[in-house]
Amino acid sequence: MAHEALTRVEDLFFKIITMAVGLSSLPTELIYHILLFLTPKDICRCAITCKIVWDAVQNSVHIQYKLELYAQGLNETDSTNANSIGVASKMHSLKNLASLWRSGFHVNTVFQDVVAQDEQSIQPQFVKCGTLSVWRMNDLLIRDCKKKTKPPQVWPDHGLFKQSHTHNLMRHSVVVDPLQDLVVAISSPRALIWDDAQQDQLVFWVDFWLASSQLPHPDSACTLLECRHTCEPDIYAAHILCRPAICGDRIVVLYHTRHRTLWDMFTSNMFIQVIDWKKGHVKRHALWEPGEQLYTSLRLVDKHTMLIINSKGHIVLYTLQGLDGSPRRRVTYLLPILRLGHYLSADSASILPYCVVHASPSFHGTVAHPGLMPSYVPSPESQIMVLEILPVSWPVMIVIDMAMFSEKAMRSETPVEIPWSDWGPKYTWCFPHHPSHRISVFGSKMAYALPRHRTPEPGQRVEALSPEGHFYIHIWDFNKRLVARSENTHDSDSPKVVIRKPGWFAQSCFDEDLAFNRPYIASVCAEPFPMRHFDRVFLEQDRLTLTRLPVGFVDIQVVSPISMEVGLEPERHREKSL
Amino acid sequence: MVHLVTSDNVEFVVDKEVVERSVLIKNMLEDVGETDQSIPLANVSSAVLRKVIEYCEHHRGEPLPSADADQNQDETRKRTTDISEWDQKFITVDQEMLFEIILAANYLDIKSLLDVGCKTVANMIKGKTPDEIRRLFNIVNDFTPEEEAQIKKENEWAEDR
Repeated sequence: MAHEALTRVEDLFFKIITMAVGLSSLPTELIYHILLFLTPKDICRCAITCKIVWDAVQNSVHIQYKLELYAQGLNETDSTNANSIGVASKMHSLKNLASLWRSGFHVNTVFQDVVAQDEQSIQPQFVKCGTLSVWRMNDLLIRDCKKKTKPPQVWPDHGLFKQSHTHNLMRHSVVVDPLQDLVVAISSPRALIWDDAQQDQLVFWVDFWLASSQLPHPDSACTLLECRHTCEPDIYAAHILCRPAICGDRIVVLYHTRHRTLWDMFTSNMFIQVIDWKKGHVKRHALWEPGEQLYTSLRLVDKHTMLIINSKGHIVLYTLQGLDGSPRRRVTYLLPILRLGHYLSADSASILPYCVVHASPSFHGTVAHPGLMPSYVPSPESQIMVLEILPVSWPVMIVIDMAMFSEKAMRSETPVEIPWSDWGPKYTWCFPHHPSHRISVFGSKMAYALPRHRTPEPGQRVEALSPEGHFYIHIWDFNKRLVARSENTHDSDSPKVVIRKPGWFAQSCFDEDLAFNRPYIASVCAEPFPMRHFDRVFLEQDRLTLTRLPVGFVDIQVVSPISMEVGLEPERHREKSL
Repeated sequence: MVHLVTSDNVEFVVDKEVVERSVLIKNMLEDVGETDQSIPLANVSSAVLRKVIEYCEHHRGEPLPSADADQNQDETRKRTTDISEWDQKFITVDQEMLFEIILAANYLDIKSLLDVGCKTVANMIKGKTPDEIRRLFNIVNDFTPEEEAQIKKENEWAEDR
């Protein structure tokens, strides 16, 4: 009897001990192990359940590193030899990255070069991974902005387009993707004469070159791809509407066709050619968009998500499905209605308001060039896109959180139109703007050239940059996680952060007042830059490239920020540009 | 054949190939050499060892993860919580057993089983609020209200806003 009772007590005791095995009684290393399988959001939720988990989160450098990456909106790239680097030093470099472009930063010129050119009208396309590309109508200039010793590459027109000897070029388009060491050159015959409406006819030739060596790209199945089109007889020409978009092995070309009758000329709806350049596949698809649009922009959010932004103020999201990328119209986001009277004019189309889109060139290439790829790239959900709405008066700049184009939006089965009031206040920041102010976007950051070191208060009109004066480079960071973290935690390691809010402004090109309370981080370069011959800026992770265009030259200056905390005396002396 | 004795004094006789999925036992056998002596496993009960052996039997012959697999690579890479169908079924046990298996896998050094266990716990946590997590695992909130308010504020940034 006594023995039985004792066993029962023992049983009970044993049970209590084993019952105590649970999440919080695990050894700390096993708690880490479990936490590392979670998303940062779930880790943070777990951390606040009890002290044991909280301590585990605080004391694991791997978890802290994961949270830091998430907070900064970055993804680690595979091309880095990341595995051989200790997590502590990776954490250190991440923290350094976060401290760049912080309040009152100074800059240091790390590269300067002047390239002669004889074209009058040139337009640098962009700088990506430190490689500047300039398409000059008759040739292509590629300049590596890191090594002074490396001479710029100039591609003559006839080297880019295989067909140019035999066909007259009506219009062509060239895109460079340094991430994949790729040059895409698209050309089309001057006039296309269809005599058989049933037959596919050639509309474009696409060449794929190695950007570094002017040789056919070894990864492409064919160096020259033919895009074909079927339509009404008597087609007159095919027009590429904007620069083609590249994302990894996918290239999308947006175009329409024109055909002429005896009395009139008609424009078709828009079409896309979806190209898999590595496999050498191409497929044509028709879109719902009317073709006659003056300013149309094409963006690939990722390989399967395409945005078309038209001059009517519509942002149309398509998904590209299947292997051939057949497009499906999902969501149309409407901008506010433009104020009447400020822009409507019967006489000229050029008075129509137009929209300029800025976003960091796509970083979703699956195969990256190891030497060019930065260690960290912006994660797709933490990027921004900036629209400049430029009517004659009261232009506006709209910063759009790319999280808006998330999977949720793409799942909508029937095409829907979303009015501004439903998405604007939730996903955008708006600012009064002036067309002379230059913009460049990288990830969640935007570089903005302003005439003053103080940002104008919202609602205040912004003045133009004066041709002989100076300008200041402002860096605005719209990463909402970084802002939220800076607001609530006081990290002694990271530099001071200035958080601002756009607020409210009544005078804009839109027919309604704009009010925004979403915060952003603001910082400004301590020193001004001379305005003379200034053309544009290009922002990248840890550098800013300024181009100036004195007659006959392209003057390139690359600066990198030095944070105040580092304690380095900034190099005051900057070489005078031409 | 290898003889194992659990904490509650039950003896198991297992194929060498099966039991060597445990790095602990593998190393032990290498050190000791061929032996008929039973190996005592003071931290593992018979109920748990039975499950562990079931797992090892099923995965017999699969390549073991290399011993020097870099920790960094493992810890910071994007890790998936996918579990194969058989493992999923195998790990459908009560919470107590789940944590016992995790502890045993850790003690016996069976990395793949440890991962299956930890992924299962992670999947249970996914998408839950702190209160739901506490309820799920019987966790006692040992923060003072002030501390809780502070850390809540500090961790809010990770939420979608």
